[in-house]
Amino acid sequence: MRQLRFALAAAAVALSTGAATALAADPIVIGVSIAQSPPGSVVQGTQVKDGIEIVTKMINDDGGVLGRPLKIVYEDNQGIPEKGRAAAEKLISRDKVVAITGGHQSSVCLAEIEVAHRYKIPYVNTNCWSDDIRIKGYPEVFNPGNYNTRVSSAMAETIAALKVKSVVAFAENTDYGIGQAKILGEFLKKMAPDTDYKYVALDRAGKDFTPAVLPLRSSPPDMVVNIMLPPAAYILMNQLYEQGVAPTAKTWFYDGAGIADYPDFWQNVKEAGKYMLAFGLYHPQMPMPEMGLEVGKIFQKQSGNEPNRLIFQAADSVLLIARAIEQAKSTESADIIKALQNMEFEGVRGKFKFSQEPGYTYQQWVDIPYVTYQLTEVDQPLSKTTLIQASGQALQVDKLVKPAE
Amino acid sequence: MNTPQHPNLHSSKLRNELWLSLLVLGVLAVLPAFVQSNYWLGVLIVSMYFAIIASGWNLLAGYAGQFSLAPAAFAMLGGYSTALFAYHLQAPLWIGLPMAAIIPGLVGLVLGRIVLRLSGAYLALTTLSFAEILRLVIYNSIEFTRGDQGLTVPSLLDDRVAYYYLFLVALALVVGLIYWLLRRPMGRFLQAIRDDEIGAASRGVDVLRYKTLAFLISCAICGFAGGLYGTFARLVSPELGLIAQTGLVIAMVVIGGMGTLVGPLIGALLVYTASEVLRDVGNIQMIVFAFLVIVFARYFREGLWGLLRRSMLRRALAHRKEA
Repeated sequence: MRQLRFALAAAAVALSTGAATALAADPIVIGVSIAQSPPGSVVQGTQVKDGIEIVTKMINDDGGVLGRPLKIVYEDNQGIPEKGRAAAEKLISRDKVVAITGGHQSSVCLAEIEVAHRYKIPYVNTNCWSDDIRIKGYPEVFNPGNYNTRVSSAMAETIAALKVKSVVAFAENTDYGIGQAKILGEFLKKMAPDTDYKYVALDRAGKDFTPAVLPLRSSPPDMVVNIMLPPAAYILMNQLYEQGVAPTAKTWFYDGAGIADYPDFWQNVKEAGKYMLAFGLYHPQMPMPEMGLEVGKIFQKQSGNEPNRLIFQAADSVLLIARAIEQAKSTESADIIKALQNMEFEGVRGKFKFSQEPGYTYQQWVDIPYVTYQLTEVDQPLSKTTLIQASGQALQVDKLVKPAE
Repeated sequence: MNTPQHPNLHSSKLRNELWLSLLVLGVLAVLPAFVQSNYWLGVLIVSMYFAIIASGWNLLAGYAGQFSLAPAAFAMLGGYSTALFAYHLQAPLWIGLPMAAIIPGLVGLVLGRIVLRLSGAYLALTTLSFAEILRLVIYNSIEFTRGDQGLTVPSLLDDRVAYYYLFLVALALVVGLIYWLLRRPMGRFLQAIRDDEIGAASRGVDVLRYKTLAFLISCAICGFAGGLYGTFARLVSPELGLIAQTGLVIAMVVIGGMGTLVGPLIGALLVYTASEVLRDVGNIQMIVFAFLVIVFARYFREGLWGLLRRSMLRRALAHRKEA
């Protein structure tokens, strides 16, 4: 009888220990909603996924978070807002994720944050630039990525420094394109009041922009600005180049959509990309924390390509959630949100604290680092481009070159 | 008025379909007792949204034989009607929601007068063009509709279960309305037009009038579904009107049973739930549904409900023989 009692007690202890171990090893589930099929940008979705995989492995190899491994559940939103809404709904209700991240298309983010707000689940916006996402003022939404106003102000600063007299912007007919073009106009009024600025809206699904490009042949502006995403941006660039509009000895070509680090950029534009001036969020020569360099190295080793901004933004998104859980010592949504609001975070791109200022800076990394650089050769890797400006480094317009007459 | 009995609209057949529809609605009514997951409740709510659109489209295509390719576009228009009233005029939802039926209904009336003189492929192509033009106008009117960003819509209710029953009541009302219409002379006229338009006209049926009326009601139902859905999703976007959405609606009706009262309900519930279960396989699900539509259209014209009815009839006959 005593033996039986002992055996039962031992079994109970063994079972409870096993249960406790299992409980401790329960993964912390993070939801990622990205475009993995058209019409969404599969290129961007893949880059976000790559960055997330790298940092998740790094965290798990380092013992996980609160002694538990991170588990990522991916959902394909196809770049469609309704699919994004359903994806967020599934991740929260069915997969019981502690937070959602990965968003890289503003219209989808806007649909997803409604769900996150309803369920009070933290939402870390990876790469949705629309100011509206911040302006809504949802306490669950955090923005460590770029935002429209930041791009426009940076571009206006460069344009003012170049002292150009006339600028024509080609903007895609989306809220992003038109919004960005308008904000750029507002900044130019302040920073370069003598510059004549106008924008032309083009269909992002368009295949031929000759009617919009041809009028510039007779009276070329000093600068053409691109606020369009691929593939429309590639078509526009090729037609500007073929028609001899930009880039030329007279006309700068300035990209504000961050397309130079797309993996298929050079194979689509070739000569049309030479001399392009670009706004970017990453450059191999920009200052970066140790962890950022590590993530870049791992990516380069795995893929054989240079990393780009989305790899780092995605890595920061997951790292941010992990650090907030560590700080809160909890996976409860309210605790994670509180931690995110108050903590100072050092990620792969730098150190920052989220602003609580209402408007487009709400829960935003306000001083997100950006770069300006120029492509000077066809098929030029990012590391070989000429860095004109970076965080803590003033604009050096004297470094810029133009095609010969 | 002494109306002739139409073989396809035998009142007992319609009554049977109504009872079966009520059975489906009854099952839906008790489901929240067993389904506690917010996610699955959400899936069922969206299924009911599609069931309303499918029922509206079935009235036009299944009973009147007018093959429109714009049900999703009218749902989008309904969603935007509610959203625009709320966004620009801060109108409460008790104004915005009726507008979701009224505006698409009026647009349907005008469009119907223009396109319903056409038939077959011409009608389908014209409605397809209209649907795409409407979507592009909404997409490009950034100042007014916020373009691809979509418009946020105020929520009608906070509770998911309450929303579930709201959609269930709306679906029951739509089924009731269609049943009531089909029981009236209009129902017989529509089927006469479907089966033989020239014959119906020769018997004094005002063909254009009844086709337009069916188009108006169908558009209003689809629009109302879109308006209701907007308040649930809290967002309407041009993607609501994608041709793929119309394809899904057609698949639901064809698989469930075209020209039957209960078919769109069964089809919508099965197809949308299946598409959610198959979420992980991505766009392959659309290929599966397209294949099923081809198979059903070719071999099972009455859809799942037709198959079920025939097997029940066979069983009843066998039972009678034994007796």
